[in-house]
Amino acid sequence: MKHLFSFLFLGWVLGMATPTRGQQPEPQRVSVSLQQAHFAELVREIEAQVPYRFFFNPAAVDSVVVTVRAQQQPLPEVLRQALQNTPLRFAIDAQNRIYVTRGVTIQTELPDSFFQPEPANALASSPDPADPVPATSRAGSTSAFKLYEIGTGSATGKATLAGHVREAKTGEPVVGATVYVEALNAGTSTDQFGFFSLTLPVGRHEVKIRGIGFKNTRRQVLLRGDGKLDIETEEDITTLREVVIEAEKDRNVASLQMGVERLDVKTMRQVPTAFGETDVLRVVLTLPGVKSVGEGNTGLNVRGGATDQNLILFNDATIYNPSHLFGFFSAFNPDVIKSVELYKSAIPAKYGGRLSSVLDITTRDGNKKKFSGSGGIGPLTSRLTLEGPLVKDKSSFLVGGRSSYSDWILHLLPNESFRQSSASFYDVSAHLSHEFNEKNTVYATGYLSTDKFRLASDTAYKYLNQNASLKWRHTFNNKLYGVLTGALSRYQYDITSQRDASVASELTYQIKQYNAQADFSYLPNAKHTVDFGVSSVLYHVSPGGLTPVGSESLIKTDVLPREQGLESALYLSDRIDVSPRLSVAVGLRYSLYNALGPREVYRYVPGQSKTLNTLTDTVAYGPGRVLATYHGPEYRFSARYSLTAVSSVKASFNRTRQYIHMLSNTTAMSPTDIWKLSDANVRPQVGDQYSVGYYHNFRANTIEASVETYYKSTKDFVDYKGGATLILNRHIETDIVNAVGKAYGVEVMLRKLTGKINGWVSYTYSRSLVQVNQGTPADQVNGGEYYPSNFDKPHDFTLIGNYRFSRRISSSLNFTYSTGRPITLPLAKYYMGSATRVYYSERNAYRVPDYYRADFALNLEGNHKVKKLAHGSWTFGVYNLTGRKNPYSVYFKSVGGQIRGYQLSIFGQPIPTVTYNFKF
Amino acid sequence: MRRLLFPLSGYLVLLLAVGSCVQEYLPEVINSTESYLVVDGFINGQGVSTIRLSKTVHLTTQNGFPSETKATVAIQSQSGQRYPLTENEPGVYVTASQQLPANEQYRLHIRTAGGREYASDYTLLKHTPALDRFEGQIQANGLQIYVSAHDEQAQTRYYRWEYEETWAFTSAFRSTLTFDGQRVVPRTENIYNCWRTQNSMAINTFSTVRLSQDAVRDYRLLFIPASSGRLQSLYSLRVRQYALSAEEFDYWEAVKKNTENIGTLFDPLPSQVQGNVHSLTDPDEPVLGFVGATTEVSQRLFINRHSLPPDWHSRNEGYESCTELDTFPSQTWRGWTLQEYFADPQQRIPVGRVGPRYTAQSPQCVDCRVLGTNVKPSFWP
Repeated sequence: MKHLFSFLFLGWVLGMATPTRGQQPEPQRVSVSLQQAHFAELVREIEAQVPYRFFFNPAAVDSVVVTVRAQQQPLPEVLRQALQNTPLRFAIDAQNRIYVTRGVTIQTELPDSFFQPEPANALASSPDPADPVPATSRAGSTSAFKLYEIGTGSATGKATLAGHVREAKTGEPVVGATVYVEALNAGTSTDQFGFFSLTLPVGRHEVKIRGIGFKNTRRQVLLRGDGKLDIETEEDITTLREVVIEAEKDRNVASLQMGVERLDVKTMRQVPTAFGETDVLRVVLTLPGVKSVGEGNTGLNVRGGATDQNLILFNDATIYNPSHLFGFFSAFNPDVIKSVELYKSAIPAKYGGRLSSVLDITTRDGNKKKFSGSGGIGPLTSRLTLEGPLVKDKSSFLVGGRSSYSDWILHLLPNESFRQSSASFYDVSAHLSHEFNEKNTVYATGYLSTDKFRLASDTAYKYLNQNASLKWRHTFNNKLYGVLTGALSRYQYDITSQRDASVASELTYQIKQYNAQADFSYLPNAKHTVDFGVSSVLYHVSPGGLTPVGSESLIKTDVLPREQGLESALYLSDRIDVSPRLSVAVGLRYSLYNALGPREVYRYVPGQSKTLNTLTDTVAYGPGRVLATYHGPEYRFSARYSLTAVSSVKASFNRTRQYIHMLSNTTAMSPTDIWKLSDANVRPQVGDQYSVGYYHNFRANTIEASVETYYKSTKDFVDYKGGATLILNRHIETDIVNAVGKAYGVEVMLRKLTGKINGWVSYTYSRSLVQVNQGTPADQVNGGEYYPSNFDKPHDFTLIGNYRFSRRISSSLNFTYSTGRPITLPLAKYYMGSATRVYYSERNAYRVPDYYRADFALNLEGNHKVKKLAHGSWTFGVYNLTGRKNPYSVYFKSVGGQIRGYQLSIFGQPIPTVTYNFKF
Repeated sequence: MRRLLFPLSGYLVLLLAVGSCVQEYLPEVINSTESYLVVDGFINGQGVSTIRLSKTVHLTTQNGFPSETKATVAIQSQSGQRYPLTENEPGVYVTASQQLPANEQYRLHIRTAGGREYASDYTLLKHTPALDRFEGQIQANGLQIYVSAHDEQAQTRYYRWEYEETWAFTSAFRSTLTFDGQRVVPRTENIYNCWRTQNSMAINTFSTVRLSQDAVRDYRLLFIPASSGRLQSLYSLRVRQYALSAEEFDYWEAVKKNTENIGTLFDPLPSQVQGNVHSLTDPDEPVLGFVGATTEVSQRLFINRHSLPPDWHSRNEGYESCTELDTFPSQTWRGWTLQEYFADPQQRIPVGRVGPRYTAQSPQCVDCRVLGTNVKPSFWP
């Protein structure tokens, strides 16, 4: 009921209210059953049963009809039910009087602190960090009217106010909420822990808190010295209109970051998908500058970068294969995810190791107040998530699982080879958080995903992601906190082939990564935000092993030697608010990579193409010996200049270095791709990106417009010689070439965040070109000229539109268009070896047909009663509404001596889906 | 509304029909007027070397592949020996049967009639080991042909096989009569029993590099389904085995990837396959083909219908539509003379005589020479 308090009807209250504190008598119970009855009937019923009197303006309640069914329920509950779909609000005072008003609620009491500040208020804490924190502050401040006195000390100067913003119901931190003082034009936003720190002049302030998913609120603060203010926000139950993409309304214009997209899970849920399940990566793919080679593929190409150039973090642990089932599903359970952030140009100095982007996926923290759950039933998968407190208000758990029943479906299909096939997957995520005290919190996350599939019964594929991370967050004082993270990631696959007993074999691959990092944030004053830290990653790669299966197998065991590498980095960055108009962020990351033994390293004739003919020497390195070292600075710079209150210009420059490369000679990202570490023969990739953007908000920040341009150059990224062998290759360097890449583009985006119609429209023009111009002519691709990369799709248009019919019914329409991806086409045919064969064009000289697709979804929500067993919602969707046969792959085959071209469309017709989601 | 939203809290009816499909893809014709030289063949260290020179054509061309005629072709050894080839049919150049000295590098040199010069890279003459086993094995639904070979010196490592299938077959109807232009007379030439020969189109290669011995065990060369028309009486298979260099093996693997293995989700991209023949006139001119130097080992196998399971019923392939005979004279042909009826031998051929009437059918059903030859192959028993 408290969420209805929004207005203080002062005169009324002053005249009649006697403050009553704490001891509300047990409310009377009533039984009422009315169907579409006049309001006056409700009044008669209740007044007849209990000694309460109604007060209302007859004109205001005229024509209001109510429906209620209650058996011996508390009076307030009955009233709430009865009035929930009407414009009427009610309030009950201590004298058993019920005030019914239209639109606004009457405040029947004055705030405790109405007449005088209360210095002894529990929310105030002393500036000394060693002092014990009053136990009552756990609950956080909840009143918008009470005056909180913070700190003790001088009456002049500045003081720092810090604290956490948490959800009142679950105790989860609120990320990206804006905490600001409007009068001073000073503000900040909460970080991933819900933490904020704001330096203000001492004195009295009204601190406003604004964000998504909760009701905007404010706190009256009398700031005397440094201190803490924890804020609890109320869940915004009645509104369903959040399609908010960014936390702050003016973030588009006012934030320093450029090339950052933050997606909230609520936004992601609205986007229709092929299998009815919210898919994080598929929503990311609708953002400007993010592309994929084809549908049913979650390999991201961010601003012309390759699919291996994205750092995908799941609570700070690196995920190597973010997809399930050939890429039709992303490997993340939507129910455990809180938000996804994609950095595509100004990558914070904290992150490194990949060239193009960082995709930071964070899970929710679990409900700290009560046990709850959610889940969904879809056509191919089902999922269930449970969460709850372990120690109330201090620690919580969150466990989510998802499993497919695609095996069962495959067996239903009327096709022999489908029936012999199998495909299944599951994933489990678990997250624990525990707050030891105000200053120390520990977070632990575990993640496991497994996929198995077998194609037409002879070859079985299996792959596995395992991740764990442990984070300890320590607050030193209001201005400094640090996070210590340890993480472990493992990815492995094996392919078993058993068709021929004499060559039955198992091929395995594995990469393990151990991370340790310490990150600190220091907020010395309102003008600076300093981040610094150190990190180290140890890699172990088992690049492949072939072992015989069965006693008849003639396969010789062939295990490639393990590769090791250590990547370390130091970083320091400072965000400086030079003036209210100008902010700059400067950062430097210095990374150092050591390829470690034991290893045998081949030496080749310098300056010549690396082939077995130019191999001159083999050098053996002992365990732990450094066989190659690469290091270099990575510059991170960004600046924002506000032109007006609603428009700004931003610029950034970024350098990134990458020491690990994915080897794949297929266009699509495949689970059998190999990750290779830099070594004496494979240099790290280095990329530079320059970008400039203009941002403008219209109509009171409800419409955001942005134009970003970028130019990117990359060197030493991996490309392949024609017909390269990547699996079980002991001298892979002879099959790969160092390529130079350049990419440039313009991204235009228009977003409307609120209203019945909301969504976004984006258009991107971009190019991504590759050049292989070194070594002998045989090594060069296309004669050493620039050629389009596999994912060069110049035009891209996306529309995500949502229309809300009512609070319960909303619909979503998506439209995507993009230029077809490049392809190498057959040019001529010839006759050789008794068959007609094809002579292919230069690499990527042509394009497949353009891609377009429209999807539609309808979401039906259950009623919005706060208290009920489970909240359910249905999603009905149609994927590929027009049934366009978009080519997933185009290929040519020699059939009976004839060369024929085929295109495979995976979703060649409209695909209807139904999903039921629930929450309890 | 509530009832609509929450039907029986049970499972959903799955509406999904996976809509994947494969369609023919015909990109706009790539109108390159370029035509490149194609060199097909190998330098045979022991016997006749046969090299075919042809040109590439557009993908859409229906006609055959033009031959490169009147070229001067020769095998050259690195030590300066020259072994000329002569053109015995258009575009086909052969040497005399000869033995080339071993442990020597050879290449093929071509000068076209247009004066352009081409040469393959020098390559060491390889020796092909003997076949260990070459036989068919009866399986549930057909005949699997295996080939095995090994090299004790472990010098071969890369193998390639080509095969040539020959089988005896009959047309749908045995014709005992022929029309000489005026009358129907007894037929003397047998156009009922024929032989058909077909070369392998698939590329069969195998490498023993990853095996502990240089031995190929039961390589699956070919599978003949039980219902195949090839197994209707006597079937013969001749396999030719070649040892390859690593480069030639890679070349064939690349050709195989480009033309046979493309189509599943994870197959590699096609690539421009580089052979070992280069233009000496213009280094940028693409030349297709790989000329290796090796010896040939061949073996022939016969499979008789009697040795196969009696319940295998082979379809008479190519004659599925030949079900009935036409009769003349008959109601259908009222008013036609015999001369008119048999005037066009492409339309119908007399088959037999039933009382006063002739039976007839199209040459596609009667004349086996449409699909093969009625000249018995020299090796046929």
